[in-house]
Amino acid sequence: MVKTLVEELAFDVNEEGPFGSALRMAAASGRPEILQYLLSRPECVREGRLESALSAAW
Amino acid sequence: MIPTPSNLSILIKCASEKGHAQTLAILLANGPILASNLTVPSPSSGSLICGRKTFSDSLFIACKNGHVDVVKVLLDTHPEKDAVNLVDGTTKLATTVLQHACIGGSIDMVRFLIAAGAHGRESLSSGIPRRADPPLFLAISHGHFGTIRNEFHPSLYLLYTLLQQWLKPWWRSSRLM
Repeated sequence: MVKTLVEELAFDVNEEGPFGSALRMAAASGRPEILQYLLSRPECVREGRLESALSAAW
Repeated sequence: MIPTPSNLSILIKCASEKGHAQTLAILLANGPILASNLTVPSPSSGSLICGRKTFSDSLFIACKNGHVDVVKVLLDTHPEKDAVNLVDGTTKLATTVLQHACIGGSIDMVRFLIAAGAHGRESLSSGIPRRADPPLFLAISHGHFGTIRNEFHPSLYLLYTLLQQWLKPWWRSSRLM
């Protein structure tokens, strides 16, 4: 579903939610396949978000 | 049993939850006859067939359960044009139809809602409270990633994963040859 939302329906992977980025959400929810997918997207901004995602997964 | 507004409202909610679109259509069409005092005046467009709370509860649960036919019936019978953009102020988790659809994991529902004019991709700028996660985030946190995992039974997905793992060495060796 996440794939279709991003690729077909143009949902923004760089959107910020109340608790941080989509990367952080994927890490915090324990979804490695989604985290990998988000990181593979060319438009995904990693700066400053990877550290936050890592700490959320930790 | 004599129909009253409260039990008619429960019937509408149950039909929406279980995905009985035809039953729901009958209930909504005959609602005012079954319980005449159920009709709630609406300032914008005459009268509503069912109360706003019943309507929004039914809409949100149908979106979450992926019942596209039910949502169609609800939106068709509702007099307000922008009913698809109702905001549920009573919950912190999900306040819009798109958020509920993303929690449920039905991509057909999301497609239908966007086609019906639902806002929410740009959630933070469209007046939705910041306390609620954007729809994409809810799909992520509920683990709705690819199609295989969600459209097949979990045991089938497990079988698929195991087969994939089992076939991987064979596939690699056949490529090397």
